[in-house]
Amino acid sequence: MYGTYDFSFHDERKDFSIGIEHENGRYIYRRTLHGRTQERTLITAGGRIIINPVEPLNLPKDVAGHLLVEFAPLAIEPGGQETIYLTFPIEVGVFIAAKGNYEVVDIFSWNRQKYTLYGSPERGDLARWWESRVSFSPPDVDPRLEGTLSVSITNTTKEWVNVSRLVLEGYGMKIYYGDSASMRAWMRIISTQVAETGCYDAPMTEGQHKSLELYTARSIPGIERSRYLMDQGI
Amino acid sequence: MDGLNFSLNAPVTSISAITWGHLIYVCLVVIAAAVVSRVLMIYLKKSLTDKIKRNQLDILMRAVKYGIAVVAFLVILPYFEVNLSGLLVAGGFASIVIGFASQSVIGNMISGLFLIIERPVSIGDNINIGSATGTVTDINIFSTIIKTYEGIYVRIPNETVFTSPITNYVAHVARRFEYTVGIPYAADATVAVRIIKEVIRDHPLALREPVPSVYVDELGDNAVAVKVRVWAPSSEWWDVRTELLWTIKTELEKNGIEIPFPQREVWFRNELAGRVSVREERPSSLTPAGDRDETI
Repeated sequence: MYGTYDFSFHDERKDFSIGIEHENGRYIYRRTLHGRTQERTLITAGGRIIINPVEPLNLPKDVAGHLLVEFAPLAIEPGGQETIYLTFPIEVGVFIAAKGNYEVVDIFSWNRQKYTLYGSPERGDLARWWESRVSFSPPDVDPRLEGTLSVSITNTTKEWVNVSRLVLEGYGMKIYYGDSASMRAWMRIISTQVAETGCYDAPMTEGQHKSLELYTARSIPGIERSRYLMDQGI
Repeated sequence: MDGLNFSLNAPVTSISAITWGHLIYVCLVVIAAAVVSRVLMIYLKKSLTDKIKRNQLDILMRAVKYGIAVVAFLVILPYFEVNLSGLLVAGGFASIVIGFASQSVIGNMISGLFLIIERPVSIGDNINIGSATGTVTDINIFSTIIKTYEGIYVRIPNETVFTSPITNYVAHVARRFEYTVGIPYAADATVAVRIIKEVIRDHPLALREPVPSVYVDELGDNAVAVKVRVWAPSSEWWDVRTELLWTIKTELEKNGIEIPFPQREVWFRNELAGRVSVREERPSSLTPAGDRDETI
């Protein structure tokens, strides 16, 4: 489903349909999911529709700027380095592009959303919560529900460290897509309770396309950090 | 006609060294500063409204506006032949006089400065100061402006803000709310607790951590009181609270657990003698046990 299409685009599956219709000289974007329909009138002479996964921080409301992925605890030896594979939730962004510019017209998801607080109420950050299984090779994912998140973990300490969660900054997420979505992240463990995280701006496999980003488009260059310091437990 | 025949180098008044040329230049600088300020304000609003928070944008715009004003003032100052050292002496003397004459004004100003430094409240925060509860819409050098939830404009002098207890409802990113849900004594409290926990789990903005707590809190007069404590994002807590409450009520009812009405059982202390007669014409199905028409 991901890709760039012209205005004749239409896709229909079980409990889901998306497309643009030409009615009375106007284009109408219409998307139906689980019986609920989202409609938008487009005043344009023509253009393209771009569908790609976006940072999963928009539904049901834009309340958090971070993604927290929780997984079964891993113990990492002192100085150890390992790449693990997790999953992240999929939110699909629909963009309309014309005359050298684009705008988001819709965001939807097959997933249920859940938010959590990383840290304490006075110092913590709100984050989208996602529970993931841990794999040591790229897992099979349902592309509608989840993408693959590869995480390169480095333990820079001289102690064994237990890790069971990863927090990523929304502004730093770089999502790539082909048949399914993927993201490459890193985690540098600084102490038994502190780690720094970030994302690589590179695809996990050759041939994947970079998603249009919502958070980076909203950001002011040089102000928002793309890294996140997990200083309230890992 | 002599009045119109003046030179730009001619002084404006006989005792002043300011010429008409200077005056025009000063006016042009003031107008230019106002125009630049206005254009920058519009540009900042257009380009940053969807990128930074409203209160940060307000602070940035105010800093830019005052910055331009200061620059314009410094540019035009030499044309008035102001002696800065004399100004400082005069300013020092004037400040003493003004300080005595307007203690409350200065007090408000100093308090305003401390409020800006300490930042117990920011524009957009939901707060309570004294009898005023609402959203902070502006923090000036002398006063803080609150829009109450009824939409009323309230101006509070900064001295009052500084010396009053302030409750800031959104200073932390998350906050807790609670309800007490009454269930009948006949109902299984374990089932009720499980249903309520499921409702909370299914709500996206009822935070997973801090963990919500649901427990039997009290054996009340009319019902078993189940306490429900949930954390939500501070900006969304009211919506979450109202949505969850009704969902809990409907889900409990779907599972056969009705919220009980207040009820009271009355026992007579003594067995009273009397004749008991049952009305024959009343259908027995409509006469619940213990509700017979008894004549004692």
